[in-house]
Amino acid sequence: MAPLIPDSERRGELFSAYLDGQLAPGEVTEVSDLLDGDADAIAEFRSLMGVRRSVRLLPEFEVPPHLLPDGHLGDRLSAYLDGELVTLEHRRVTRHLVDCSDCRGGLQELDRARIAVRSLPGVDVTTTGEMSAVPAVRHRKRFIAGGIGAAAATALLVGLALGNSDQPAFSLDDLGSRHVARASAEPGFAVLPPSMEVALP
Amino acid sequence: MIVRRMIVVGGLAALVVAVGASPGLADDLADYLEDAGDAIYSGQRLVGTTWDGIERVGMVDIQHHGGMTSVGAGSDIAMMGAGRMHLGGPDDAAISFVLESTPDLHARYTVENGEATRHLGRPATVLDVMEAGRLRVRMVVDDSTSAPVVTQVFDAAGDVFRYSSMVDFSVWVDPAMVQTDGREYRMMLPIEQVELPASLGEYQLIDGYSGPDDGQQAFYTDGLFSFSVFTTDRRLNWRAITDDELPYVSAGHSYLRVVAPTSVWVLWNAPSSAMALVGDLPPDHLDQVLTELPRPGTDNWLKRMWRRVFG
Repeated sequence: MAPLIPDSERRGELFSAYLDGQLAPGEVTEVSDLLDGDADAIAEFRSLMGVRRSVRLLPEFEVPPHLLPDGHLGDRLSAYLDGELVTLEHRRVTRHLVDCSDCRGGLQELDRARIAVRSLPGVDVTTTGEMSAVPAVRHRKRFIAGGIGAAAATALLVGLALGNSDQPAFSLDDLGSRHVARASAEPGFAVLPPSMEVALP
Repeated sequence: MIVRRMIVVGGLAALVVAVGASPGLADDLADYLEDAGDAIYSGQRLVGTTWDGIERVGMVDIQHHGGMTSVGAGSDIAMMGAGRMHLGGPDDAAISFVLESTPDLHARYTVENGEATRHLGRPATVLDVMEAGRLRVRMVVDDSTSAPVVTQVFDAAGDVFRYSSMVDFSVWVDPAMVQTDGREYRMMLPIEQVELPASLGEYQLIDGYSGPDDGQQAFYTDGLFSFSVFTTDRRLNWRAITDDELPYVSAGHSYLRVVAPTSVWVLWNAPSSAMALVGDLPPDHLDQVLTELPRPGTDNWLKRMWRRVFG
C-alpha cells in the first residue's frame, strides 16, 4: 500500500504552526526554504491562509449572557491591562472589547482602580498586585522628580508672568505615537513610527 | 500536540472545500489589507515622502507577525499593532487603545490586478488601487506571504507622494514576536462626545479619545489612509516644539507642516483652540479635509486678553 503523502502532511503542520508562531528555530528555516521557491508549497500555504481568513469571517455565534454567565473576559481583562497576553490572544480580546460594552466598562473600572492604587503614597504595587518595599533608589528618583517638579512649577510661574502660557506640554512625537497606535488596529498600510529618519545617501 | 495539530489541519483542509477558498490572491482591497496584516516577514524597509520638493527618507529593520510590527533593535525597538504601541525598553511608555468600532469602508477604492513580477528574486504581483478611475496606490505583493514589499502612493497630479520598499526580505521572524511583553500599558478608552464632524471629506470619524493638554484625539479613516485630529481648548505656540516646520498654504490659509518619512503633521491655531492633524493621507485628500475643519485665525484682542487673565 502506498504511504500517505508525508511531505504534504508535514508541510501542513509546519505552516499551521508557523502562522501561530509556534515553530522551533530549525523548523523556521525549513518553512523559509519552502516559501522561497517551492510553488506547490506556496500554493498550499496560501490556501491555508485563505481558510484562516474565511474562518475569521464566519459569523460569530452570539450566546445570550444569561446562558453563559462567563461569556465575558473576566480575569483576562486584568492580564490585558498588564500586558500579559500573547499577541494572538491580545487580538482576540481587543476584538471582543469592540463589541462588548460591559467588558469595556469593566476594563475602565480596573484601569481606574489601578491608577488609584498606584497613586497611594509609599506603596509600590507590582503588576501582579504584590506590594514590595520601596527601594532606596526610588526615594532618590522621587527626590529628583520633586526637584524637577519644583523647577517646572517655577518655570510655569515665570512663563505666566511673561505671558508665555501657550507652550505645548507634549511633543509632536507624542501625537504621532498616539495616532500610529490607534491606526495600527485598522487594516490599512503597515504603520510605522513617525519619527524615524536617516540622511539621504 | 502533533496529533492535535493534525486534526486542526485536517479540519481546515475540509473547510477549504466547504468555503471554496481560493489559493490565489485575495478578491478585494479589504482582503489584501487583511492578508498583509497577517503576513509574516522580516527585513529592511526603505520609506520616504516627497512633497513640494521636501524629501524625508528612512530605513528601518522590520519584523511583522501576528498583526504586530517591530521596528529597530535592542533598546531602540518600537513595537506596534492591534491598537498598541511602545517605544524603547520595558520601562518606557506604552499605550493601548480600546476601540469603539471597526470601520468597513472600502467603497472609495477598487483593485485592479496587475502583472506578475519579481521583487528581490521572489515571485510577486503588482496591484493597482484605483480611486475614481485614477491610480492612487500601486502595491507589489509577495506571492507566498502576501507581504506588501513595495508601495507607492500617488498625489492628484499622478506623482509619487510616498513610497516604501523592502530592500531585504525574509520569511523568518524572531519567535519573541509572539511572546507576551509583560509591560503595563496606558489604556486609552473611547470618550462619548467628540467635538469634531462625523466625516471630513470621505473620511469617517471612527472614535475619539482624551488627548494631551486636556484635549481630544479624533480618529478618522477611509479604509486605506487614516489621520488623527488633536484639539486643545487653548492656542499653542507650535514652533516651541519643533524646529523642522515649514509653511503650508491650503485654500489661502496658512498652516505649519512637518514632514516625516511615513507621516505628516499639519499644525495651526483656530480662533480659540489649537489643532494638529497627523496621518498618512495624500496631499489632495489633506486639502479637502482641511476645508472642513476650523480655519487658522485669531480672536479679537478683548477675547485674547480675557483668556490670558481668566484662562
